[in-house]
Amino acid sequence: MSDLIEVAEVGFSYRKKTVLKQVNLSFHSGEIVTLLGPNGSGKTTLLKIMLGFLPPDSGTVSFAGKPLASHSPKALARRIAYVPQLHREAFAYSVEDVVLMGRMPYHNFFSTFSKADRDLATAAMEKLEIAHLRQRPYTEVSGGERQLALIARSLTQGADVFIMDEPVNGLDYGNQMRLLQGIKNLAKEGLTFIMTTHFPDHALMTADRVILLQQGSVLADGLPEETITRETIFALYRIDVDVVPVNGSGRVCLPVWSTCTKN
Amino acid sequence: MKRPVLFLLALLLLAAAMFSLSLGQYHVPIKDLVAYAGWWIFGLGELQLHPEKAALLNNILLNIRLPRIIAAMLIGASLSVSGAAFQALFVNPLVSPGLLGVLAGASFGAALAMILAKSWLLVQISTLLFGFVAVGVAVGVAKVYRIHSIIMLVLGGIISGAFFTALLAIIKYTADPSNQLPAIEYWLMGSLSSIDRGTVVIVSAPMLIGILVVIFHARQLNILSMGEEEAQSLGLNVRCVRLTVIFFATLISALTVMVGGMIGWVGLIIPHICRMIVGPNNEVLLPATALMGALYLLLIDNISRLVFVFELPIGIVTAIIGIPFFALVLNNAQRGWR
Repeated sequence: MSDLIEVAEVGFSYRKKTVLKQVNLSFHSGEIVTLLGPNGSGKTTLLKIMLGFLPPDSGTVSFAGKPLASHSPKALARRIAYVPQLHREAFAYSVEDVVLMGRMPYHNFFSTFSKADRDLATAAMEKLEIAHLRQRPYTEVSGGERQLALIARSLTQGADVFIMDEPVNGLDYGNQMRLLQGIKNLAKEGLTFIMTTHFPDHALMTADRVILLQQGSVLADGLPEETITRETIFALYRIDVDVVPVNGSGRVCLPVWSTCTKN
Repeated sequence: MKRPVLFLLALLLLAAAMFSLSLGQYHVPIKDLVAYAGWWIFGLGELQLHPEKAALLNNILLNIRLPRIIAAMLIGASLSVSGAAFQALFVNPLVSPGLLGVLAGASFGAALAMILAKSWLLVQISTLLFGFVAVGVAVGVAKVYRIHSIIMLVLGGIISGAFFTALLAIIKYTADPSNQLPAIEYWLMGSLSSIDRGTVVIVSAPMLIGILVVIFHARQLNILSMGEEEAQSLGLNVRCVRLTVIFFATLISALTVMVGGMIGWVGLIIPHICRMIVGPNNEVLLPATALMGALYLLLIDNISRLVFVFELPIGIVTAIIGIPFFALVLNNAQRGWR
């Protein structure tokens, strides 16, 4: 596997507060990587630096062997898609309009969306089973459907790397699982997913690799079963857990209540 | 599917403009109007009118009514389009074109030149100049703090607007209360009664260009209204689009003040009404607001010059008619952005 994104010695601070210190990471194509860490550990900042939204104070980020900044914004948009956290939108664009926005990096100022663009958008919506919502206002569909619409937009964008900030945030249990299942299916086709989460279980269920962030540094980076342990979870969250195998098909992370309440 | 609405609005606008030409103290029947227009524009047939009457028509239509009608349409379109563009840019449907202080700055510029300079040209230049200065201050304040957020820009706008409003108050206080102060006050009420043909000829091109440039940014504005980072992740040069739209919106807003003084509410009401009709997609919304804004201000101007015995400032009429209407449709208007 080749290194798709390389984060080297990246440091970042907001004003005086250090958010990331000397972070070294690499991401390969076709893997699902989950970033886990408490609030303020620098997960979102790291994603924003990898997307080029924030310039790092020190260190470099390179994509496909070249520094991030040397790619044009449009060229980058054709490869890397960003799925933001669920937020309230001001304008009720139709789901189809939102998905079509993914074709913007393929257009200059004057060219208009073509039938081919619309077909790509339709195909993406059909793939994620939201084609029936195409004319519905994006603001009126459920949170899960909205996340699916954003993933459809990323597919329409032609991107092969999906960077997602807490994609399951604000979704009910059913939609969380459907979304994670959808991500797993897409990863089988060779797409790369880099996402943050607050749920160790979700990392255990979906991730090929887990990166634990603590106060801006990498605490662990490896297979889910190696990185998500009693010790690391305690180190991150000050919570006692048991990581237990279930039916031989996976593991779950269970809090140990007696010690929790004693704390 | 929504294009027919645009076509319909364009037709309505054309019809309203023709109708408005015939309206006034001196009534010109549509029949005469058509005959005159055919003769004047296309050189069709012999002019069937008495030469004296033709001269009169020439003066009334071309020197008085047509410039005023064009001015009303351009002002309505400019304010509506810049309002809709700002709403997308600031991701807030309650924003009006004056958000970054352009109207406050332009009013100050006009008032300043009215008491210092005697020439009308200087008043116009000063209006435009200070419209840009005020927006420059807003953008500058946002830049000083180096926080790349729309909130800083909004705060910059509030600061700049308040500052130029205070400066305007100083000008008013020092103005001669027997003639200068009333002149400034009337100006701020907004009026198209003192429109002259020369001004309209000069401002038409920049206003039309400004309106078109903003309309052509529709897709960029769609994306920008999803949030700055999302727009960036879709390959958009956020800074460039934002500054371009702000520049041209400022240009056309300042020009409306230059031509007709302060005309409020249009930039807020028209985009809302259009969003109810054609939805929030700026590709259709922006052209629709341009046409609807032009139509609205044309009708309002007809009311302001014809309904009352004396002419009422158009800025007052837009508020008196627009605000209750806005209150009525508010419940419906929410659907576009809730």
